[in-house]
Amino acid sequence: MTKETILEALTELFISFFDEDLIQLKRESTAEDIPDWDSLAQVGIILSIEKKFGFKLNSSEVGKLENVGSMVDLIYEKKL
Amino acid sequence: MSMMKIKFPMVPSDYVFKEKYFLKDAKTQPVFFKYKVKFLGGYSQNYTIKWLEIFSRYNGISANITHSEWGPGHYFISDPDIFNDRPDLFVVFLLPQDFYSLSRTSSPMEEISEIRSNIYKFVKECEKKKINIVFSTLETDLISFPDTIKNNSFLSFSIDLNKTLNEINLAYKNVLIFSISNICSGFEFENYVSSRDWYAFGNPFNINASFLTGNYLNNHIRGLLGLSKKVLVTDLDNTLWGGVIGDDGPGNIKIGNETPEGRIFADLQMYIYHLSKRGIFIAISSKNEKHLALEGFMNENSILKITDFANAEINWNIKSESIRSISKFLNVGLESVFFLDDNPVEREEVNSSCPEVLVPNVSDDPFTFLQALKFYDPFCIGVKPLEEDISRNHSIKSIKQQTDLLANVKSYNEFLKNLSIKVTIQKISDKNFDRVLQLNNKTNQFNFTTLRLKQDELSEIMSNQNNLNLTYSVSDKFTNYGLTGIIFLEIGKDKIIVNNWVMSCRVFKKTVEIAILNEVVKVASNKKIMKIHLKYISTIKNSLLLSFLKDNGFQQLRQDTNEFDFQEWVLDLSKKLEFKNYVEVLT
Repeated sequence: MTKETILEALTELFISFFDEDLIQLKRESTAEDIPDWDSLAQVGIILSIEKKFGFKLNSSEVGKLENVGSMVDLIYEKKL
Repeated sequence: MSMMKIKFPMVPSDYVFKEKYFLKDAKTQPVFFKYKVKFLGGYSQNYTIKWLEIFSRYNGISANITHSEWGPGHYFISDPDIFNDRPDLFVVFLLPQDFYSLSRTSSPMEEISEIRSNIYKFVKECEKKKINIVFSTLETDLISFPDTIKNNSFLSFSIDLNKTLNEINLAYKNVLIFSISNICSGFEFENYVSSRDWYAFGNPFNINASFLTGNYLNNHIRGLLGLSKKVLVTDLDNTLWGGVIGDDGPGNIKIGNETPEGRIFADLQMYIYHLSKRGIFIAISSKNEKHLALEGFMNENSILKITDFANAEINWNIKSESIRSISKFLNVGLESVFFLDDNPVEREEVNSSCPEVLVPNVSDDPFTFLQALKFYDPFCIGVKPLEEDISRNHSIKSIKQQTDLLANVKSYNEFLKNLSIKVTIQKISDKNFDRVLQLNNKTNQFNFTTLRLKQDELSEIMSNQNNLNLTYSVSDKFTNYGLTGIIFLEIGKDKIIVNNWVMSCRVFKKTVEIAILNEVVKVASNKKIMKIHLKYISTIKNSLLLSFLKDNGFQQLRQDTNEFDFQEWVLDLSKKLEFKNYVEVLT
């Protein structure tokens, strides 16, 4: 998986999670760019990533996910 | 009422990530009830709250849910501020995490006697204020600290505290205890507690468990609001036993300990048996030759006997027709029916022609029938049954005796005369409070306003000096129906206002309502009052009341169709009226 395909897959995941077709993710996207992305949604996104990509993050990895770019990088590392 | 579409076997993770979609969908449903819930303790319960909101919305309940701050449940129960903005229900979480101490010198486990006494105080205060409570019991601990304070284990401590909770559960009607591990077992997912979810998110149990707990709490609220189903209609072949009795023969059906399938069917039959003991009507809709199907119940391993059923439609009719005729026979609306059938074609037929009936989408694995019963909890088993519920069993049998009697008499009036119907009138009091609330909130047909009451609202009605609030209990020579009627009267200077009047469908068509009207007229005459006003909110289900009003001389005074179809009717006592009935009234 390349980082580009991961970003595409993440976009799909966000669209389904927020039930909102118009989401376009960039590496720089953060919670401020999506109105519904609050701390509760953050938990949901992390759990959805785990389900979709088939791995489990530990407590400290969870704390590092500040923006979409960091999510892409972490998924990339885990899938290497 | 449309429900969330669930497929069994149920895998919570198929739903939990679509929470935003389901919330939007649920919010398109009409709201019939408002309900205030307050969570105490439990740390991060956001998902439980979200799912409770979604499930209740699908059931026509708009739940206003608030949550205490972050912390242990036992800490919040002694805070007097929790009673501000009175909730209808407290959900109190007691969790192992509550007792993880950050101090080297003391442990909250030492405070067990104080915690215990605080729990009792809290419960008593709630009882006084008529607030319901559910407590989680203490369960699976992530860590199991070696406790050196009492040389005790956490397990021993939790059993000790759970014992207190159970004492309360048995002693107080407004209390229910629940177990998160029980809620989760039987569904498909891994461990419901995870150290990551606790340390990273503050979730003491995972998102799947939150989903199921939200559903569980919604089921309990449905029960408290009187929204439980009343009839379980079941198919026979491959639903109550394994195999097709017409093909395999009565001796070869699978039921009992010999086969894995047979064990599941035995558990299902036992579940249904217990439902019938709680006064739930159980009935059969099966396409079969009747004599063959009945032999299934003679199998020595069959727990259910044919006499347990209130009605059996065993014939070749289409199932929606059978269900309609069962509902008519038992005088219960289709929205109160839960239908179990292994055959997807039959389920679809019932779904499309009786959309009010709840038909779980089960698979050919019979365990999914039990799973669907656990998940939907259609009969709200968390709500403690009242005496009236348990004794209802007898009246099921008597329905049959009455039908036989009716077949042998010349006229319906003669039948009524032979029934020796007796009505006992009593005031509403603390003694019959729970039953009054249940009857008021469950009854749809003979219910003039169908306005549901919460506990505090009923207390208020009772405390008003101008009100005369009466209940009546009905019996005939076959059955004691128990408390089956309520009438809320407001005594004015020149008129009596009937604010609401409710009667169970089980005592319809016995002229009981006419006898009660006659009693109200007597009250009026004693006070030299010449007019009885009656409030009526017309709905699809209570339309039979219109003919009752007309037949008994009421005239419509006004109608206001703004929010709902509100009508005021009046009975003028200066005219000569006759209330013919076959009832002996005892006061």
